[in-house]
Amino acid sequence: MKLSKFILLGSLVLIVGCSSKGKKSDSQAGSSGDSAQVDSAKSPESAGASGTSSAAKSQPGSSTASSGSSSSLSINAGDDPHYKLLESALRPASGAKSQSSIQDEAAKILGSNPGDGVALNTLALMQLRRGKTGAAKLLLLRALEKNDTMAALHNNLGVALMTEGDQSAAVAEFRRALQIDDSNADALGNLGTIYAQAGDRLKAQSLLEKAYKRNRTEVAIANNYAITLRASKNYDGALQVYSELLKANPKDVSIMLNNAILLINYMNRPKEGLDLVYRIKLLETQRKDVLDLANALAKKAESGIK
Amino acid sequence: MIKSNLYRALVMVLVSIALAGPAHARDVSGAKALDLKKSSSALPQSQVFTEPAKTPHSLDTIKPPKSGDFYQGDTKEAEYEHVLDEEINTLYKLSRTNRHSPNRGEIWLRLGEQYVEKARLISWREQAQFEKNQKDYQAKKTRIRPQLNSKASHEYNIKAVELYQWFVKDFPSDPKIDQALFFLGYNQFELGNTQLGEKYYSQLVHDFPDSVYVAESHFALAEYYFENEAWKMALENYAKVLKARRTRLNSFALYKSAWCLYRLGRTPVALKALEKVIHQSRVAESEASETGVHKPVNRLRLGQEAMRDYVPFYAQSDVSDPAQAPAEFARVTGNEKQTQTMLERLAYIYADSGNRVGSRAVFKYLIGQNPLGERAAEYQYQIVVSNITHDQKEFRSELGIWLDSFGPLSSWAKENAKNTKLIADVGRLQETTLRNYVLQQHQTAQNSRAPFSQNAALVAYAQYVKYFSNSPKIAEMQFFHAELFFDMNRFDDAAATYSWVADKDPKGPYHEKAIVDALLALEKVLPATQEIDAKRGKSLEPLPLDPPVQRFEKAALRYIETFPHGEKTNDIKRRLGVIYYGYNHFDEAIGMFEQVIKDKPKSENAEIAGNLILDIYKIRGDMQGLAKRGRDFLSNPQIAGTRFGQQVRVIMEKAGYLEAEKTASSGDAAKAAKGFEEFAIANPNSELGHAARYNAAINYEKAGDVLSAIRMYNVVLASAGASSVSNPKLKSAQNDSKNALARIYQQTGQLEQAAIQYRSYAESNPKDQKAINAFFNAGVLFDSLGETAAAMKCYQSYMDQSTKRDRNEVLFEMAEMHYREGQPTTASAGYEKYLQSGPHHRDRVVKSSYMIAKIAERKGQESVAKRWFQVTINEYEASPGAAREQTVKYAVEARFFLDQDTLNKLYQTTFGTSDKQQARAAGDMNYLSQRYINQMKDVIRYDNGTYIVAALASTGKMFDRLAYMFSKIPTPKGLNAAETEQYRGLIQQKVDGYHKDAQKSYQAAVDKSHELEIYTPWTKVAQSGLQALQPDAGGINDTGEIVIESRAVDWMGL
Repeated sequence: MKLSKFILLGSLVLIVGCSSKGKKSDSQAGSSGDSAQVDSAKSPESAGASGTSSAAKSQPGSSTASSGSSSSLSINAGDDPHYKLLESALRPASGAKSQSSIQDEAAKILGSNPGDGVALNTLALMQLRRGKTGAAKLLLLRALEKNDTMAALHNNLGVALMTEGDQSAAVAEFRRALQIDDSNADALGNLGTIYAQAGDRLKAQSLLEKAYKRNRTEVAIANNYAITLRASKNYDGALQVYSELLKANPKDVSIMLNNAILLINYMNRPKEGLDLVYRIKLLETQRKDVLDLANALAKKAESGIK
Repeated sequence: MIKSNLYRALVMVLVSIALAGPAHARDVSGAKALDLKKSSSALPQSQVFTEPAKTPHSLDTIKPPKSGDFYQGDTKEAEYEHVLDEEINTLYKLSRTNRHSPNRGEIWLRLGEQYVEKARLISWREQAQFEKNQKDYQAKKTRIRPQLNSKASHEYNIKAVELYQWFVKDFPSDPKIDQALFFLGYNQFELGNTQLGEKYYSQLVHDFPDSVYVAESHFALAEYYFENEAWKMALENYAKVLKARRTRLNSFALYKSAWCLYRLGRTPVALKALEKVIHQSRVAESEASETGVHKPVNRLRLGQEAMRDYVPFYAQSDVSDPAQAPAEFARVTGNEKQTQTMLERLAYIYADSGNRVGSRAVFKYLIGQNPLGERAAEYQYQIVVSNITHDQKEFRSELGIWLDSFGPLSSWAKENAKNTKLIADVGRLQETTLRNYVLQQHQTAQNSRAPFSQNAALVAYAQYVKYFSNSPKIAEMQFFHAELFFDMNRFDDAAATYSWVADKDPKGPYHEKAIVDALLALEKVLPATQEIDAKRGKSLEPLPLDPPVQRFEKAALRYIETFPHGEKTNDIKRRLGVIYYGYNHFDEAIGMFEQVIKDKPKSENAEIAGNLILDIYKIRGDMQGLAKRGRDFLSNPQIAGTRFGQQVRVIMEKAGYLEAEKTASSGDAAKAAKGFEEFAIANPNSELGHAARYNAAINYEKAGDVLSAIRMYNVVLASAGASSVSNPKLKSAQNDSKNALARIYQQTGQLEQAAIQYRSYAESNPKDQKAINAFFNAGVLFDSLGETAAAMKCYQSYMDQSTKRDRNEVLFEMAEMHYREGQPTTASAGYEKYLQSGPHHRDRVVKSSYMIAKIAERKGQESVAKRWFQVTINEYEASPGAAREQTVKYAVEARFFLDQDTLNKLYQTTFGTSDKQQARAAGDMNYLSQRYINQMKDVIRYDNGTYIVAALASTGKMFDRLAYMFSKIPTPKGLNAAETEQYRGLIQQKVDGYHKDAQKSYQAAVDKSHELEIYTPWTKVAQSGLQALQPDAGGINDTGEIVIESRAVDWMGL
């Protein structure tokens, strides 16, 4: 992508030239960062498989805000007065978020520091939320230009890559995030999940356990952690996780199904498992594979009871 | 300093315009040259320096006197006339009483004589009256041109003619008939009837050759011919008079003969004749002295005339020789004094006739005879002037001699000191002569502008100054001396000389002009504005005045002091003030400018001065002072209504703008931005409104207040469209605003707006290649936002309008986008188009080839896919290392794809039912499987994790398939039960072996996948295969548990 770099650099030169009183150093740095990000955004299409399950939608304030790390590792911007207004825009008292107010607050920060990782990350996640994965990548890559040691940026870029279906690139980003901050809950969960999907249960359990300990409310992490517990025959541990999850998510069919499999197939507790299967059959109307499995479990549980 | 220069310029050319403009050099508009136009002072009127007016020595003016002039007039005229009248009365009575008498003829003759005499007396009076009237007319005492009135005298002539005619008629044989004829001739001449007169004279000399009236008649005829320039006939008649020796007309006839000879070109003979006249005169004088009788006046006078005429005759003759003239004249005159007189006359005649050499020789001779004599100075003067138009070098030399030898300090002057008038006259003449000469030289220099002429004039001026430094004209001459220096661009000399005039002649007519011109000359050598600017640089500290500037300052201050109310005083104050301003002598400048304004508040000078005062406040950064001074100006009613007053109002109106600019230059961008915005709000219709809004935007951006910057840039863009068309500055600002907005939006992560502004900026500048690059930026941004159509359009515009060599690279971007958008056919065509455009990026070439193959594969176009996969490998192998590193995944996939052919052939193998068929098939399968294994080894050598896993998993799958195929092999016919069992046992061993190989491969694939953390469908293939072959191996998905995909994002604590 040398062309785009070249052209953007040229245009930046032009821009600087047109602005006789521009703040050259900042705007140049910021813009050149943009150009690199735009450039880098043109990654080759990944041939990787895309995820099969619904993505966990973490919300601002609900994600695992890393603590105990240096600012260059994990950022807890909520404690930084510099980001108070941005935080307020993200979590307004009224509860009604305003896209433009978030944008304005981020712009204020970026106006004085075009490479601000927190602001760019916020904007990237907003774009990701809008389904503008390319734009999100663009912003994250620009943020990484100046903040390569921010684990959150690597994690979020991994998520964007996952969204695009580039799992191998995503894994690399998650791993990079964990290299920087091995306690990053989001990266632990995301990478652990990929391991779990790939059947690498030992790796998966190690990561998911850490993730789970940092955030027990994240459905995907807890669910997937429970699967690894089951795979390692820690049935009670798995059951406890499922139980906690279902208290918070009483209508989550996936959790119910996994819990039912544990109870019926591994813990010989068909009655409890059958209750869950019935609820699954009541709630699930779309996924045939889930219904088929539920029926099979029901049959086994019923026969066991008998 | 650039800024300060800008401020200065701004103020001068109406702050309103320049404020938003680029930096300017320090103002020079006030530094315009003094508008003291150097009036060309006309040189004093020099007398046309030709040779001096000729004294009446010209030959043409020399006329022989009328013969009558030589008759001595009767001093007792009245008494005589009384007697004459009585006689006439008596004779008249007699004529009446004797009218029939035979004696009447005698009475007529006597009465005729008296009438002639009477006519002569009256004619004298008439002539005298005429001459008097002429003098009066020439003296302009009367306007009536006088005419000679001979009426009275002619009455007597007529009466006489009548009497003589009667006599000739009545007494034709009378012995006195010759007398009658003579007087008839005489009276007819007197009456103007010359032909009749000539007739009577001719009859007389012809018919009465022995008459006593013959000589008189010849003389009269000679005179008549002389008057009519019939020189030859005149000479003949004079000669006949001369023949009658002892006549009273002899000497006169000789004198007139000399003239006739001279006129006939016989100068030597003429000289001889004159010499004879002179000799006769000397003899007569000598005789008179000896005898004591009354001197013969007529003859003496005639001798003097002859001596006088001898000189021009001599000058004209072939024998003329300046060297011999003194001896020759001494011989002719025998008198030293008369010789000197004749020599002087000869010298003048030589000079008059252009014989400068002769003239100079004679004058020099005369000077030599008496160098201290009074006339010597005059002689030298004549020598000087004789050269003036002929030989400048000689002229200057003789002039020097004249000035040195006959000047006030010369021996000649001492010798003649008692003759003060002479000394004064000569001094005046010398001064006048030299002055005229100098001025004439100067005039020539002015006309020709030739350096030679100018230098000659300079030398002349120097000479004048040397000899006449105390002359009353010295100031005037020095003034023009300075003028000449000025014309020769010798401004320092000019200034010094003008100053001399100003010093020496404080009350003279050239005093003020000399002071002004000294200033102008000094102004000419003032350093150029650029020179001062360069010397001053960015400093605001006072610079020492350069020496020429110091001289100018001194001269200017002198003028101001001398002529406080002079016509040019205000200009000079302004000029001096501007110089002070240029040298950062701000206090002095303000002082001078204040005077300018006070003196003439409505003048252009006041406008300049006022502007520069305000500018100085600005340069000093004293904006409050500027505002206060501006208000002071406006409080002056004489200023308020002027153009300057209007300018001040504009300045005051824009004080906010200026303040903002100052703030901006100080680096406080945020404050400056607010200032600009406030100005724009307060002055919505100001000419500076657009500039203020734009500057507000720039400064907000500079201050990092991007939201305000965006707001202001958008305000600039929202300015009236019509005005942007007619206002190029606004148009330019709007264009820059689009660019700036795009940059800010991009900087602040507002990608949608950035894309829009980049596109708008590019669209607004279709001829600007740099702006066209913005199309590409917009394309990238739109692409990232998933706005494919907009991105595509931008890419296309970029490709269409860019002249860059690699503009075709966007073809690749467009193909990628089409592919992402689910348009594989269009994408494939785009990739091909890209490959045909001569691409430069090898990685893109490899990828494009791969993508074409991949799309063909997905569309089931196997042969096309195979061909392009092969192209992919070829391009990969032809690429350099960096590109290969980037594109190995495409090459390895291509390789893997093509190798699947081997598996297809393997899987298509059938065993048949005969042992031979089965043995052949087994051999083929063994070959193909081995071949595939080798191919997969090659794939693994690409060292690409995904395809390492794929190669291992696919190999496991191949073994799995082989096991299956062998397990399904039919038992050959003809085998008995034992053989069949043995056969099936062998087959089972084979199958078990393949299963074992498959398991190993699957396990290796799974392990590699976990090791490399590469989880592709081939991982699942390996896991599934392994699961099937080793059910107790355990797994995650084997129970149907749902792994929930995790895409947890990190909001960094927000």
